[in-house]
Amino acid sequence: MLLAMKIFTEIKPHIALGTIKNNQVETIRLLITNTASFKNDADLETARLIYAEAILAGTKKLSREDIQQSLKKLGSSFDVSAGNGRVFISVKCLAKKAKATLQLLLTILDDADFKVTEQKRIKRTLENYLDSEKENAKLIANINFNNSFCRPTNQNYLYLPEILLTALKQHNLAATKSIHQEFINSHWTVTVGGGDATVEQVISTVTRWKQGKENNLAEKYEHHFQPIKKRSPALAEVPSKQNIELAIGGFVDLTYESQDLPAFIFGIAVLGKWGGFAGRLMSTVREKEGLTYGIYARAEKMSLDQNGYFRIMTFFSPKDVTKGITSTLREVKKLRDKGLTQTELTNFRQILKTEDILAYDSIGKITAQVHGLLSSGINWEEHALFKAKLYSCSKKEIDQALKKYIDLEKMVISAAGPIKNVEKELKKLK
Amino acid sequence: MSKNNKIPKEFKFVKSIQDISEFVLKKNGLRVVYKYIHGTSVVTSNLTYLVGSKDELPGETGLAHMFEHMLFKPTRHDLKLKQEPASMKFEREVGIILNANTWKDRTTYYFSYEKSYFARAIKIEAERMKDLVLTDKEFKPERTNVLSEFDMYNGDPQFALSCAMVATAFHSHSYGHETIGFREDIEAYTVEKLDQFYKKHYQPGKAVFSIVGDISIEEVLKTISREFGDIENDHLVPRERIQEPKQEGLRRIEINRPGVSNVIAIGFKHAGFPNKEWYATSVLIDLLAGGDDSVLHKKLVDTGLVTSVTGMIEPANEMSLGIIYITMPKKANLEIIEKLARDLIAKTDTKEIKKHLSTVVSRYLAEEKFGRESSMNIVSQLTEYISAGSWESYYETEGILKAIQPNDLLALLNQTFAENNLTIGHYKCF
Repeated sequence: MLLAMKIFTEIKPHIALGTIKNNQVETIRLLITNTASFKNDADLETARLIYAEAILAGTKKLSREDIQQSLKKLGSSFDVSAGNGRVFISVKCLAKKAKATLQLLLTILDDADFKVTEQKRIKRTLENYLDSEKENAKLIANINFNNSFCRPTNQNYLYLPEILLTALKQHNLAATKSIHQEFINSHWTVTVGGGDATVEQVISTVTRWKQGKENNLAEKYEHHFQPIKKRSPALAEVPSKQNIELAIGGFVDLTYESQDLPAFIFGIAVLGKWGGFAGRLMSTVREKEGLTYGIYARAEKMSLDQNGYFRIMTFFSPKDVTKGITSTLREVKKLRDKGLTQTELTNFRQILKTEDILAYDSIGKITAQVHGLLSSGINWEEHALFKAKLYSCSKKEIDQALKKYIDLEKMVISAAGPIKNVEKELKKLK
Repeated sequence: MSKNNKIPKEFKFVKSIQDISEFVLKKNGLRVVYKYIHGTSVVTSNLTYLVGSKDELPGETGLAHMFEHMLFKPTRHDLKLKQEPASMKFEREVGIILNANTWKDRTTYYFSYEKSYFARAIKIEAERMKDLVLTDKEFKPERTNVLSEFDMYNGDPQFALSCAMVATAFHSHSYGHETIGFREDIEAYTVEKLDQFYKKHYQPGKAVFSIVGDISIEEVLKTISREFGDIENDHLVPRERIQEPKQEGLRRIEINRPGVSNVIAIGFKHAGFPNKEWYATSVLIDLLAGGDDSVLHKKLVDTGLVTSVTGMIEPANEMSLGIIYITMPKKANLEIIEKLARDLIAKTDTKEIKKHLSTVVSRYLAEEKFGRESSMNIVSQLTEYISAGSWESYYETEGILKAIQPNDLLALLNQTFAENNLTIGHYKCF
């Protein structure tokens, strides 16, 4: 298959680099993340959220409005987000504006000025935002699900909006400045997608700039997930919602390098391939039983040195929630106990290959994919090897992996929404 | 298109603009719009039927959307072979991306896949255009899914408001209901109604194929001719045009529900797409509510009075309702915020407009480039132009934007936000 897109990755001691070249595109995408996560607690998490706004709120010479107007004139965008110990910068611009856009970005990073007035503004807006997120049932279900498998001291622990709101009250400017120093002096993952010549130019400029800074890898904190002792529901009442959002799943003691991971991922794809209608959960719980609009499953969080879990995402109306969860658990049990069919093995081999082919339709998608892998310490060649193992898993390997790593008695059912009237039934679920 | 391209005699070449060409199948009027993308090995094929929610009668709102769901059910050919619906089989065996969506003026179905599957994709579309079998067995569970989808949207305050807003803004025109329809109407559908709808609207003379990707025009036309050449139209009925009566004064609605956030919706009627006035309105709304540096964001969000401000206008073919949403904490006073927002809009002056216009072309064109990088995105955008009856405008954005003058925008502002053009909604939490 002759493709217009060329992908290259390299993990160096001081930086991880990814380039995706395609001379047919006139745009540039630049993604930057600190490679390893930093310390995680509610105060630091809040500080990072503020930093994500504050970094674009002005430099010593440029006001926030100056930066906004400059970006608009260039037709470029900067998007900064932060969470779970990482800061993530996404830059989009036309190739012909890449040099000027990059210059602006590096000026902002070099010359960052965290003004008190801007801190106050950001705190006001963040307070309102977090207040509204208290109604985000999907987010709450996922946070509670994730936190079932890790302690508050764990790097992967997530914070509910109300916790962050409390931490926000204590936030100070010194914390924002400290996050900035931590970010620019950390080991970076940098990925650029676009036309050949401009990609080279961007990479060269960024690496040259970064040479003047340190490249600290983060100190290791507790980061592995742990199994729960016994199946239990995590319930959160959000009365304003019409449906109950769910995150259902279990701890999986596999890392990227574990031999069983490809087979396990294959099995979970059969259970609930993310997106579309191919997964078992969609064809049963949605199509045959009409209990929900969407239900998907995937393995998450595994990286080179970290285990993870599998998570089923769905929602049910209050009147259907016990039936919906029962049907979902039934399908998990069925797949675990009986394994996949030969037809599923054949079909999903093709489905997973097609997923990879279709990613090449979008340079944005590929750039994000490469960046995610590199941020986890995985280069493109390693990823190709992993994929080769994934496509060639045998039915026996997949069935064994499902049996070994799915423990129904230790699954978490995290629900958020109008649960009050169905709480008793939810607690009784077996 | 060059003279070297061999066009099958069943087709007539209509026109080419830049790298997009249009053809029509002479026998039945099926149109094909084509764009080549080199080196991805991916094709997206999209069949748009020129029927949408505006073609629905009172009491049958949402029928076009319900039917969209039904087009993924078995055809006569599937039943004969005792197989699942060919479209679903395509996804489950190969892993293609498939989906559909319904909007005011059109319903669109798309597949995205590796190019060697092109013939299979076209065959499926031909079969479902002529040979769908509608039964209660297939319909009733799918209606439950649609009701589930309705409930999913209805939990969102903005959706709940927009349903009430359009019903209030339009007294006669069938843009006066949301695409999914009213729940009560969904519950009353019958297979007979769906069948009548199918026969009336699903004909080649009312359909346009968009084919974008790594495939030759010769193969595209040859395949479409083979699969669609024998499908005839059965009495094409011209679309009805309804004239909405003149609005004489401001209209209001209110919704009361439990929650933590209040919402104000300022609805305004605007010209259809891709009329020049539509673009001017888009630029105007961007100035007022489009991002961190917009008029309302600076004065309402940055000051902590409200949580967020967003503005939207739709690419509907006829006069439609755009909305600015202002979300705020429960404690905020809706009446005060509404007055403040409307005052800010009214006071927008030429200086602000000029400053905004100075960067509009660069930003919009950059966004357009980013939005047109994958075959799926291109097809998605083209669909709206096709549905509006003017795919030629796909390449006209720059010229239209450059022609907008500050005085035009000021006049449009006064006209758009005059009381006899507004519908205002309050979503009040208790």
